[in-house]
Amino acid sequence: MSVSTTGGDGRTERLLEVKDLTVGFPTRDGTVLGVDGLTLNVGSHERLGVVGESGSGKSVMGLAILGMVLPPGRIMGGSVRWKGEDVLDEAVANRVRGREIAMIFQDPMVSLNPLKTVGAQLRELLQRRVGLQGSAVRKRSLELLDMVGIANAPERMKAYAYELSGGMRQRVMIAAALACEPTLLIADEPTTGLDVTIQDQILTLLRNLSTELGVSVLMITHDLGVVAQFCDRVQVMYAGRIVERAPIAEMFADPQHPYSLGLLQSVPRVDRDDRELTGIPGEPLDRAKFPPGCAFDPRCAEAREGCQVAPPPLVKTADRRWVACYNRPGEGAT
Amino acid sequence: MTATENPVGPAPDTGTDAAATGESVTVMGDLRSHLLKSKAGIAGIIICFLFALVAIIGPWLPFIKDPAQQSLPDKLTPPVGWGGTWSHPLGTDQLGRDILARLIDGARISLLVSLVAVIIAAILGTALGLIAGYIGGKIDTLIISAADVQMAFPGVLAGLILVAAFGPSVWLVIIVIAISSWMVFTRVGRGLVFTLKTSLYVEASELAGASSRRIMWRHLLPNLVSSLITLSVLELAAAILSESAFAFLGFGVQPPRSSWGLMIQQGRNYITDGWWIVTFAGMAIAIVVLGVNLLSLWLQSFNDVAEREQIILERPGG
Amino acid sequence: MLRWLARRIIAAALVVFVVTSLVFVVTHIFTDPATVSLPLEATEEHRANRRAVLGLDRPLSVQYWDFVSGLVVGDLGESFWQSQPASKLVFERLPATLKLVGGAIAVTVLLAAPMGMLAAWWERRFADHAVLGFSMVSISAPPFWIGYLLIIVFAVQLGWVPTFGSSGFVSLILPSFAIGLASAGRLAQMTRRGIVEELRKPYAVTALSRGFSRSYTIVHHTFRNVASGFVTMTGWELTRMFTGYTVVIEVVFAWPGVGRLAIHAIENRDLILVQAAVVVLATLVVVTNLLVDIARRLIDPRVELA
Repeated sequence: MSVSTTGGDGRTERLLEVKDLTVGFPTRDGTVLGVDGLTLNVGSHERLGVVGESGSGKSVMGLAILGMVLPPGRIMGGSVRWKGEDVLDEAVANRVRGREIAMIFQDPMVSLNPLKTVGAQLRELLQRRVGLQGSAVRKRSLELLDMVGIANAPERMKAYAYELSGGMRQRVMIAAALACEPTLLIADEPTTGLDVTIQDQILTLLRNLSTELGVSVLMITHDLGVVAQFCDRVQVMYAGRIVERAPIAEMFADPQHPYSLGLLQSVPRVDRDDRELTGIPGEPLDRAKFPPGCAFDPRCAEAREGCQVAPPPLVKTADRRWVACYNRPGEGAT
Repeated sequence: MTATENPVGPAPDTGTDAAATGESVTVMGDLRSHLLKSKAGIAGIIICFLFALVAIIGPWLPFIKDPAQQSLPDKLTPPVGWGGTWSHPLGTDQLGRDILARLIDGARISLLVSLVAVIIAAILGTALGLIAGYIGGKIDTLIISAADVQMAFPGVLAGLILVAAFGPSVWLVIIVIAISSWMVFTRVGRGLVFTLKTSLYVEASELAGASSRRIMWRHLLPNLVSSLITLSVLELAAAILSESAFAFLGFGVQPPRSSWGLMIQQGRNYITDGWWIVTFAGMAIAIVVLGVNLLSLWLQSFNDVAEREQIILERPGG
Repeated sequence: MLRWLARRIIAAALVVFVVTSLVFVVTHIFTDPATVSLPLEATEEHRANRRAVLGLDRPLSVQYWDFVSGLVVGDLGESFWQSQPASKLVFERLPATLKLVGGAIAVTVLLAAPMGMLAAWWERRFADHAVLGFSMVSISAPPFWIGYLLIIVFAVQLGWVPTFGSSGFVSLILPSFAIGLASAGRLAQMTRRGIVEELRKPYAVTALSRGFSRSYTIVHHTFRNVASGFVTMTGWELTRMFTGYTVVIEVVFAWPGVGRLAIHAIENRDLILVQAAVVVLATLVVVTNLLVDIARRLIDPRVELA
């Protein structure tokens, strides 16, 4: 079942390497960068979280990794490599999409075709992307629905999206994503808009499936709780750029970028009740009015002279820890 | 969209118009910079401007002949390039009248009739839309039902019955075009008012005790202007086509005055040995309507861009 | 569904009633068929005689009742010019008009659907701009002028098709194109916009992210979702054809339809016959709208029960 190509402990091989990825959207006031020089790697069997508030470019990033940008946007630079192959090459992308990298989206209500039944949508995938024929299609469809914990699968095959509950729809989405046995699953806000208990079930399901099937997961979310519960590593995104990257435990124990710090402080935490809950001061992002320097500068408590000149580079501050802030000099910096 | 919505081309969305709520100065500035990036917009404006100019000053141009002057020896002279001479650059008609002069003369009638009709429709329709949207209730139901009935009874049918009853005249054509267009303004105006009505500043002025008339006049109308102008341009294109059709059917201006539609009607018996009469008259209509349509397309894209940017900025790629 | 249908039919009947009543107001209160039928210089005595002959000297309420009850049984009065029942004259001509509209709508759909799909497929590329160019020109040119251009090129210069009249299938081609091109231009843009908007919707993005090609996604996912809008727009184009284009195009091609009958009736001062033609065409518009609504319900069960 597992498509893992790693030998040994399976913890080291890089599957996805994104380098300096830049996505621009032309507007009347010039080009707005949805994703600005993004760099990220996902290894096999890894669960990486990308966290940021809405408008930070994380959804654009998810699609751009598959070489997809909605017009009028376009990929303006950088590279996306999947097992060494260039995904921005349309031929490679066509092979990889769905088969090796599958994606699930925020709103399963609208992500399922409203005019096709669950069975029809699975059948279409299994026939056209996997190449199953005849009775094997139905057998595999039922198997998939069963795998994502949908009871009464034969009945559900006949249902339309609007006849299913939110949690059920997301399970169908996951089943469809896993239909082609992908190696990497990109999950874009998979639990947003669901009940808290359903959120929990979906996350547990995703975690179990990723362990059982050996699927890596790139979890895109605004919810640090989801990241804490699900991921091994996390990257914090702000205004289309990565501002901090750290293993999960270290991020929560010691956030280094002022924005990460603010994010953590705005989340209620069960394990610690001593700290007061604070929001991040200042207006949320207005992408049309980017400062030339650090994008967080207008909202940053630690902003100082020099922050406005150029965006700070992402530098290594410790083993497996990277930060983009002038106030956190990297290893070997002055 | 519902089946009863306006069938007259792609009307702008009835959502709030991002461009309308900004300061007018920046909107004009944006409009200009947006125009410079749009070849279609520039082409549209140039075409409209040229036609308007020719319609206004045409008869005083030095090289233009008298459009009514007949000269039977010169009848059906072909245009330059098909054996004609520069004395009649676009040839002559069956009575030897200069086609170019008649086109310029016809432009006045064709454009003026359409323009007046659209202005009447816009004023009447917008007023009804404001009243329906702002006052609501039974008046709203009445007005919107009238608009629905108007949809089912399009202009040409009204034109047929009115011409049959009262005989052809220019004013009749104006009225017919206006009554086949008012409900478009009513629907869009009403839709916009519905969204604006609940906006903070309208509620604030209501609290401050402003009268309904004042609120409609001072607060709602200015916010509708940019959408209504876009709509008027779109309707103008339809009106020019309608005018030409009515003139062609002989419902409008009568000879010896000329209009483009009438020229086609008169030239149609000569399409074998005088194809240029029909061809050039129709081309004039097509080009000016194309210009108006390009202008309208650009105005719509300007409104769309404002909306689209909002979407991009709120949910990148989402 | 049945209750919805009943409500729609009643509403449609109501619209027909209001429209025909408006027509009556124009033809019997603002003026009357007798006055129209006589030259301006006719004497008052002459007019009174004519009114008496046509029964127009009776009270308006009686005349209105006659008119409405006549409508119900399909009696649209007596044509003065032809001395025949107006309904007979109109219904004799109706098949020709329906044939013309049928040809035009076929041209419209056969051109618009593929053009719209191509434009959406190659969004912001050459094909898209080319289709936009076609649409802009076709909706800007007056249909009757397109008719004459087609005649000049294909009938006069090339001699491929007959110039005028309705002799068989071949003579239907030019008028169908003359009417259908503008509709195709509008419908192609609408289809393109519908598909492009659908392609941005999450379900289509999902399909693309699963590796389905753009063309597969357009044909198998978006087009069905665009279909209900497509049907609505096609219906609007049909109503335009019934009420506008056919009249002028029938005149251009000397096509023996209802529109040309109405024009001839106007020329012969026959108000009753014009009234009959207008009532029949307006009813066709209302019926078309009704059919479009029903079709939409059948395609997309989510269409609200408005």
